[in-house]
Amino acid sequence: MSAEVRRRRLEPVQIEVRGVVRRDAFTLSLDVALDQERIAVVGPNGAGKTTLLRLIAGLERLWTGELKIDGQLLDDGSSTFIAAHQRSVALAFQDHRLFGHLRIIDNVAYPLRRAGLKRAAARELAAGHLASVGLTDVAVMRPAQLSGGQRQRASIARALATPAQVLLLDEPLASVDDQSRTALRNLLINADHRTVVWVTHDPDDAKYADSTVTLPPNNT
Amino acid sequence: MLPMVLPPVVAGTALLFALGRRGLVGQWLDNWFGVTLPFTTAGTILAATFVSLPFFVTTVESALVAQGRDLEEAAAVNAAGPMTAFATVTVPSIRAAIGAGLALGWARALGEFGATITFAGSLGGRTRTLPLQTFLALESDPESAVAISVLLLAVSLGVLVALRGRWLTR
Repeated sequence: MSAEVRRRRLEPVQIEVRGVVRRDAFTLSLDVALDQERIAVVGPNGAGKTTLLRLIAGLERLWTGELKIDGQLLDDGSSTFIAAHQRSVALAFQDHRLFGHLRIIDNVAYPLRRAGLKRAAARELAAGHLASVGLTDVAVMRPAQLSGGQRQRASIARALATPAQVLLLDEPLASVDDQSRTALRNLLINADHRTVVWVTHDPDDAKYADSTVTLPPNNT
Repeated sequence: MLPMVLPPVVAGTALLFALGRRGLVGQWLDNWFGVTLPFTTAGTILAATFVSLPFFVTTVESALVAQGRDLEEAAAVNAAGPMTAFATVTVPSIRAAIGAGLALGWARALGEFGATITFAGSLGGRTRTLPLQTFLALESDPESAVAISVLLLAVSLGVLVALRGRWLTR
């Protein structure tokens, strides 16, 4: 299993989201097709950027419409819904969501353990991902001992460790310093995932994408 | 939550009517499995658990509500199914609350009197708990009643001191 994860080369995917999300008083219409390898999602506050990522990840359901990844229907707003853990999609949250009871290295090893790796093999791979985001020194610390920027980098490392076809990042560089920003940008652009989708407010970050999807203001 | 506000004697009476030999469930337990709970050590444990369980449940429930669904969502996008997420993320992240709930429930159970004497009686060596022994000793041997009371007081203070951080940081 470990060899499979190490060598895995992921194929390009096409993501289509057409439908309506409804949550309490919030309604959002989406008509988005993502078919490039590196996609930036921009738009004003409340346009639904985070909701789009949560839909693709399987954390939200469509009220009506269709969500397809590589032609496979994952959500049709009624009977069809593939749960988040069954999708080949990783998501790095804007608010990190690291597991407070685990050391940083075990946070990054978490998706590898779920993929079937033994603890030692998962930690070995996780150490590599932590090194790539410059967090080797804090591997044995708990999330509460890290700064906001370090937690964000750890969250990115955890998403990178996930052997998923699609990598979603919600404002991944929002709280990292300028020095780390360039290195992380390169890391995300060259990530071993065929499709990387990131939400950003920074035009500089959007420049590195193959395409930019701009969500219109949501006035509903 | 009912046992929390129910007078303990009423709780014991309810247990007797439900699980007594002629009780609603108790008669089937006796007929089918030969299991008798009233006036047994198991009955004592059951009465104490019944009365103290809400202390554990409310402590754990408030921790779960405070935590929200954020960590379960993080586990889900990292390929953990609901059961795996529960075992590897939910339970470990509220383990302090689980410990506090167990300590609170245990302390409450240790002091349980009314439900125990109603459901399990006060049979020496079988169902007589420390509070029951204290009550009996008050008439015949006041010194030993004081000694047991001091012991129970020490346990209560111990629980209070062990959980002080939890209450002070709220």
